[in-house]
Amino acid sequence: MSLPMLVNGADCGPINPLRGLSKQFDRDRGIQQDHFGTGRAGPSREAFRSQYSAAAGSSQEAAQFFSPVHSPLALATGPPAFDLSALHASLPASQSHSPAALTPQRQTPLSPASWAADFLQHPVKHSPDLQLPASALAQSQSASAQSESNVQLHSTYSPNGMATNLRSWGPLAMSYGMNSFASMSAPPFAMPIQKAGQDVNASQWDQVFLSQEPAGQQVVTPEAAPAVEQKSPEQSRQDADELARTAGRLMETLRHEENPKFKNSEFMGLMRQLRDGDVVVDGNTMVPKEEAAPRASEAPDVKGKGRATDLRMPLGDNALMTGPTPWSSQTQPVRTDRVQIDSASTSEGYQESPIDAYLREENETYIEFQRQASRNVSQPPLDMAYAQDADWGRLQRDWDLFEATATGVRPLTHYQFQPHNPYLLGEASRTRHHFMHADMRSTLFENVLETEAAAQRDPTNAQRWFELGVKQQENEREQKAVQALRRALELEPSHLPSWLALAISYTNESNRRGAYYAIREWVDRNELYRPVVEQFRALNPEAEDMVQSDRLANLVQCLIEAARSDTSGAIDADLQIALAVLLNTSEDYSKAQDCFTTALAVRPDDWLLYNRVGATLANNGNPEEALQYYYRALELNPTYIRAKFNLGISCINLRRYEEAAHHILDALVLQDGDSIYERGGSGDKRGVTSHTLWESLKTCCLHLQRIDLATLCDREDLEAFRLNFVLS
Amino acid sequence: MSDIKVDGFKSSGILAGLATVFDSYNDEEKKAQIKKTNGIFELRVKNMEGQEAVWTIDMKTSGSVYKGESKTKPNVTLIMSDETFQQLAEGKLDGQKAFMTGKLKTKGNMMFATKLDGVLKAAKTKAKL
Repeated sequence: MSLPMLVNGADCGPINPLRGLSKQFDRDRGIQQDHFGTGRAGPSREAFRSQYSAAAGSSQEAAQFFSPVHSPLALATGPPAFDLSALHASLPASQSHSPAALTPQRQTPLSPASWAADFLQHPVKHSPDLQLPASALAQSQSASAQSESNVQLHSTYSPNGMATNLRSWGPLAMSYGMNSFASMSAPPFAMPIQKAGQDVNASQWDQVFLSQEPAGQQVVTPEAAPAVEQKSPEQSRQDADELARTAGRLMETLRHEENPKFKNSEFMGLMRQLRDGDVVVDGNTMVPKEEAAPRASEAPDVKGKGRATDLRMPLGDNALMTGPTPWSSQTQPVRTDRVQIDSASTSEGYQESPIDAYLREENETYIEFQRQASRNVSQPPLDMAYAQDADWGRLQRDWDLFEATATGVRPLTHYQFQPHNPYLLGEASRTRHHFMHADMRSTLFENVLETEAAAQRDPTNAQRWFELGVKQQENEREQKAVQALRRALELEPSHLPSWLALAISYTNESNRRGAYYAIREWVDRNELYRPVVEQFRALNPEAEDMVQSDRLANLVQCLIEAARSDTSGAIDADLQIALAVLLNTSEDYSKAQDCFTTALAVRPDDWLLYNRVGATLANNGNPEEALQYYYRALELNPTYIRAKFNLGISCINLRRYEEAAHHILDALVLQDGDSIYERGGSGDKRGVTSHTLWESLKTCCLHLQRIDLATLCDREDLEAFRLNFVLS
Repeated sequence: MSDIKVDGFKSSGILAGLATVFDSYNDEEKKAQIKKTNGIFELRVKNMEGQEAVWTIDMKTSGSVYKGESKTKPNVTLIMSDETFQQLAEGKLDGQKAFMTGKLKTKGNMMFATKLDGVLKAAKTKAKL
């Protein structure tokens, strides 16, 4: 049943109490809890004070049951349902039967007069909207507890189980209800009502109504009434229940906790006791149930626990009894394991009836769900703010990591092509043939996009990927180069130039280990030197526990052996390069330089080699000498971005900042040329230009005392930088 | 930056450059560098004219370079000539060699002095092959 229906359906009374009730749903329960414990009449005390007219129609009943709250004065003149004298008569009996529900400290003389006074005071004591349902409930509760006819009334609405259920509330039927409900002293509800005077709680209201939902539309109003009626003991126990429930949930969560130390800890013990209601909170102290119960109980024949139990059940029961019959069958599978769990975890080991188990579970689930929902609503502002901050920080870091990879979501596994590559379409075949029949150097004036397009068109060709990798190296995008080269090697693990290029990339990234393994692979797969290498390895076996530097030295020796073995007099440039790369990783720059120069002798117009010689020199602290090699490399290939950048670095090291800035800016402009301009596009080209370049440029600007330009570097705003730089 | 410079010292330019680099570091980089080094170097550099200038590289708290003696006790004080420092900074000379040949003298934690290499290198972007 929907709440709106309820609200609109109740047509009695000037003020619709259900509307007030509906307010309960989204109310903060904190307020209620603030009231708890203050000098306020507990619902339990009022539980048996009012009488209910059995003859009243169901809708009327509901109205009555709400209306007194709204207008306490109207109550006196109101329906016979609240005949106080009848109440009075029944008081002693009911009191003795519900001792658990009584707060000992709060025992007040139960004369009709004081009741009336109480009743009138109620609105004052409670906060208005709280008080409403609370006292109303109290009233109706008492009615249900008292009159057998009332029970009958309810039973007409809920033929099956309602009667039983309600009878358990009747003074006479107390013990009757015990059995069926004893099992229900399950964790959440087991506590006696030490904290009487707990108000109706939003979640509980919700619960009641929601639990009614499956019961079908036709029984709408009557159901609501009994449900609400029976709540008041529930409310009064609310707090204790809450505690027990929380404890229960805690236990539940930790059920799988293996650590015996934790399992047997005092804390867990306490939680268990709380859950089972063995310990109750009395004021500020925890009291064992056995101690607390007698104080509250005047009926010694009934155990406090059982009492609390049978009192507490109504809420779930209602839902159940009024619910459609198919339910019970549905519940069957759920509850079996549930019961097992519970009986296992409850120290008392009650036998829980399937229905009860189901209901309790429903309850708990619902409460939990609701709590989570409310938490979700209320907490985000605080927690999420921090979480978001952290998230952003992480995202930023990640982004920086992937910076070189355009859309680098997956950093090393996949090469990310630039979208909307124009070379991918149109007269692409030209470049393709070109690629197929030419070696690496013929890619001279092709740009990255062309190379990318070639790889995209022919994604299983290792050569394409290798070329792309080399091109990206030239263009100072190490990360992308590594990705492309890896892809090439995935496709063709024996592609030697790719291993060599990968080793170079790793060296540039200061990944010594990576460089070492790449070169090693290169050696292992090189057919040319197989005999020499095998011979060398036989003489110098590698121990498993060798440290990295030893392995490196070993490999260097191996390569030197290989170079010497070639007696034809010809120089294998690749071997020299491999050796040089290894020497570079071990920072043996002068030897590395020798190797590169040797390689250069056989490949006099390889601009890559010129740059490598230059870089080795620069890293060795000879930027001055490095310059000429860079210049030569740039002569051979004017778009060689890496050489430009290296030139810039050398200029920085020579403290020629102005010049350096020019070179680096050139490099950036060249890099930027590889980006694809989309008409009206967002223009986010962060991935296209390299972050390292911007960093270096920024350093230059700071040296030039140009803070304004440095900030532009931070923003990586090439256009603005160019304009400002030219103007200055 | 300019307050770091001392006329007649080639080292001052290098140190100014170093300061610039450290200034341009963002917090994270700075923290990483400080964590890596975690100490204070005091450099006492003598030039050809026999003048002495003192700089401090603080890689313990602030991650900065400043002129003058260290504000707190330095982990190590390095005493050398202007020429030596320049070579050190350019990587032409390594610290241990300089120490062995007597070009570099230290006061305090000598082992810590070896970390200066790393600091000076950090200021330089490596050329790529």
